[in-house]
Amino acid sequence: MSKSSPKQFLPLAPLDFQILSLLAGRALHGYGIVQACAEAFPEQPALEIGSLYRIISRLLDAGLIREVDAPRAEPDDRRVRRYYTVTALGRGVGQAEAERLRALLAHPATLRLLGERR
Amino acid sequence: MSGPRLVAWLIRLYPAEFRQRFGAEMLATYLDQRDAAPTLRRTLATLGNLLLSLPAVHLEARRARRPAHPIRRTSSMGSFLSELRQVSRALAKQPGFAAVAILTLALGIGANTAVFSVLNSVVLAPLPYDQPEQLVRLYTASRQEPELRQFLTALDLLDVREQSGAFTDLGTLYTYRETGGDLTPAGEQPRRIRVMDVSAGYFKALRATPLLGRTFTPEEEHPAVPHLVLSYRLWKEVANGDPNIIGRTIPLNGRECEVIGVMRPSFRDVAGEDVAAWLPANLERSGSNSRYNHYLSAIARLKPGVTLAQAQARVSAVMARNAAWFPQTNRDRTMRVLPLLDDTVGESRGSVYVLMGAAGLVLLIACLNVANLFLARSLGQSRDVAIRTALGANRTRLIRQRLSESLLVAVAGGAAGSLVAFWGVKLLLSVSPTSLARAEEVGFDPVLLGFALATTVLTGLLFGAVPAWRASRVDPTEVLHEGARGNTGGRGSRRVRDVLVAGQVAVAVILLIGAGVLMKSFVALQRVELGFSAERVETFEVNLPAARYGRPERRLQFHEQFGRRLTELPGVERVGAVSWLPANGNYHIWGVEYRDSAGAAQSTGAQIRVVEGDLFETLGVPLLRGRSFSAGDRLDTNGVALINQSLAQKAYGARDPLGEAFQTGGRSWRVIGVVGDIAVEANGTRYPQVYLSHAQFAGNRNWSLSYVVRSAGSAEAVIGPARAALAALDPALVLHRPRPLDDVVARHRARERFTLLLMATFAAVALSLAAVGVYGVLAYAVTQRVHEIGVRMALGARPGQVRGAVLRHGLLIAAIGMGAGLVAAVGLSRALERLVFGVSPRDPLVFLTVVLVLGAVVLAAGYLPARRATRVQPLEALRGE
Repeated sequence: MSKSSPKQFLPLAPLDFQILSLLAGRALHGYGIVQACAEAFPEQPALEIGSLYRIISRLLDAGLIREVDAPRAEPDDRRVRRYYTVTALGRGVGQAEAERLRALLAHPATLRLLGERR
Repeated sequence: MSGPRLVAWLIRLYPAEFRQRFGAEMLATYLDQRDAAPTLRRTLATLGNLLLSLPAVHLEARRARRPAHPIRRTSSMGSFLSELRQVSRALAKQPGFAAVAILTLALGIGANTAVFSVLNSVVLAPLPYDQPEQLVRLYTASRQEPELRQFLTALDLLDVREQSGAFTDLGTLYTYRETGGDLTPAGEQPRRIRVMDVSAGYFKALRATPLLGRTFTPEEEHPAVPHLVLSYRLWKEVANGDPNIIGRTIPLNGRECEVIGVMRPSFRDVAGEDVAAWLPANLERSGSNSRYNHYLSAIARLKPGVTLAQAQARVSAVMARNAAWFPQTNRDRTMRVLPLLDDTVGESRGSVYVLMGAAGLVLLIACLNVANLFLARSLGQSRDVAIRTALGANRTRLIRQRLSESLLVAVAGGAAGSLVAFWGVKLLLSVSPTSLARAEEVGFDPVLLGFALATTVLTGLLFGAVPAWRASRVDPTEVLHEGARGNTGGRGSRRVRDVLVAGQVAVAVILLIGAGVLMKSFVALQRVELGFSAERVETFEVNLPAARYGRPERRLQFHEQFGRRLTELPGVERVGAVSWLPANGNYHIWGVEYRDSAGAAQSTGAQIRVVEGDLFETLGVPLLRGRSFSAGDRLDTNGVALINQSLAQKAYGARDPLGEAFQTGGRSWRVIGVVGDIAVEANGTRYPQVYLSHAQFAGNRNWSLSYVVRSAGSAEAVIGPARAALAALDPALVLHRPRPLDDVVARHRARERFTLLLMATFAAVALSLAAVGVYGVLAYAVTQRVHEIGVRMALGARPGQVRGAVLRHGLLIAAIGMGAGLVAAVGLSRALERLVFGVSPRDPLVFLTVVLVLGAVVLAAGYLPARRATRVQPLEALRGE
């Protein structure tokens, strides 16, 4: 995975991209991701653990995110909370995907599509 | 089961690597989510998502294990995954469809797997012994009644053991009595355990070796050899698993018994799990063993190479020789050799097979329903598919998409079905009668999960294939020509759906009739006249150990004293005791020799009961003639007896039986009275009976007595004071198995109740599924025919006519289904014949009721679509074009 180029991961699945971009800002644990997603995209259905950990597993295996120590003390309720953040590669992939989407959005065909809705 | 446990259970279904990495975290995240919003919806959303993600995660895990295809998206697995994603998204858009399909499958698969688990453990799984197919059970029968399964005499068994040469080992068991022993460990409360008298060959025939010590040898097959083999459980309980137990003694029935062996934890007695210890059987050719004394059960292991038929022939040869040598006893006597497995399962086989068939029908109805749903869905989408085909979409890909869609639903249904099955087995066991043979061995078998999944996948392919094949064959131009009016799916496919629903109705009819017949039979069973009143009567057993109560006077004195103390307890109205409780099965069938009206000697079988105290008054049994036992009937006076009405009629007919003398048990008795019949079985069966006074009988034999106590208040309240009264007389005695007399009767009806309960559940599921099916078809037909209905109404059709047309459609389907179902039910009624009591499996009233109920349900299911049809606005319907 060391020689991976960000391009080979594109295009990212929408939820993968969302989570990657959220983790680029700060380290979050599972429920933190769920909350951040709900805040950022309120019209989306809540993220469920089955999907969430499938994505986390995928991003971890691809080397796009990694586990980090807890940035702050957690309540001692014996619940396992692991924090994740993006790797350098992950940040690169996120940026590449964002670029790709920007290019896509800037395309006249897309703009026309958006124009029609008004 | 709580949300977190459900979530944890579902997480357990994930691949091991995934689970170990994320399992704890997933649960923690769910708990955090739930803390924020503790609603049922929250948990359901998580559960649904876990189920839907399950197949994908498994596929991904498999791909990860096979690093040969590292390229993403281009591998076929990758495209399959993206397809699955696409499909699950499409399904998520129609949650109603997915939910109904998955729920339907879960019910069908779950019920099927649960019942199959029971069947598997009870009927199909081998006995827990080495090479169980070689094991047989032996019974006495007679030339006149070759199907009998009577107890054996020790002498016949010894002859067969020594002369037949058919068996490597033959073991006897004393199952005749509910053989119990009172355990009186020092410093502990005495208690009664189930003890089995077995011969030396018993453990050898089962190839069961002890964990410690040894089992019995033929030298120990004598009366009162105080040697004891303990079950593993009893060893743990009374000796704390002491490895040096061998050679120590344990007080049992007032006797110090030397422990010579401890069985392994896996060993299970043929007579039941609860057998706690074994004593050597008495197989002496003298003493109490005679060719008259039938009391033994026996098992044996066939010699290698000897078939069942050959063994039967050799045993019959020995018995034929005995018939010649001992004509007085053995003239008509035969011995049967039956496979042990058949025998162990016995009567429950019938009901288990019927339930298995019913579960299969539920699965069938579920599949029909889902097939119908998918067909409707594919019709709804065929326009879409046609357009995509016209635009050049890959046809195999379209079919594959359909297949993966149905597969996905099937897998989700299978997973949910496994949950239903898991609880179903628990539920089945919690309501199952103790009489369901070997029920203790039933468990949720992982192999059956495989069975459920196989059913699922097969179902998925089956109902996925037809719509997929259809969709691919549609000619795009044809579909598009039908215009914006929407696709009616064509007459052909509508007819297919009608047939599917008719099939559901037919299956529902079969199940409803089955449930109806069983219900009627159960009601008949409840209403049956037992000949006694069990209301507010408590029962318990008291056994006097022979070692301390060897003298008859002692036993007599004890029971009289104890009976008096019971009568004096507050709230107690009447107290009696009997050697065998009523409605508790046949017991002690002895030969009775009497003289008929011409003075000729005759004999018949009668069940012997020994009576103490006010038995008949306590149970409300009428004394029809003569007198009951009195204080004057003592050990040293002439033997007197009461007989029941059945025996009076059988032996004496219209004659007055009072004063007549008869012989039984080697003594002569004079009839002093006639009492009403008491049922010997819970289904009301009567049998000739003889009642002997314990005061006279106690001189001969020491039988334990079951007390019956009628109180003014609740039956159970008497247990505590009765126990105290017993302890005050003799602290080493056990008040055994206290239970209300009602429970004794109910226990024998438990199998019927169990079968009925399951059948009723199946019928209810079938009825709801059929209703859903009818509703679905009619509602769909109405939406598809909005245009036509609009035209009709524009042309002046009244709402009643429109409604009638829709309902007629529904009733036509139902009528065809019911017709087919009724024919099938008549054909299948034979399966129920052996299970029902007091009702014909083709009971016309049940058939009629089922037709009416189903008709009403179909009308109700059709009402909503019919009403919707009348709400069609002609103008809008036409403008829709």
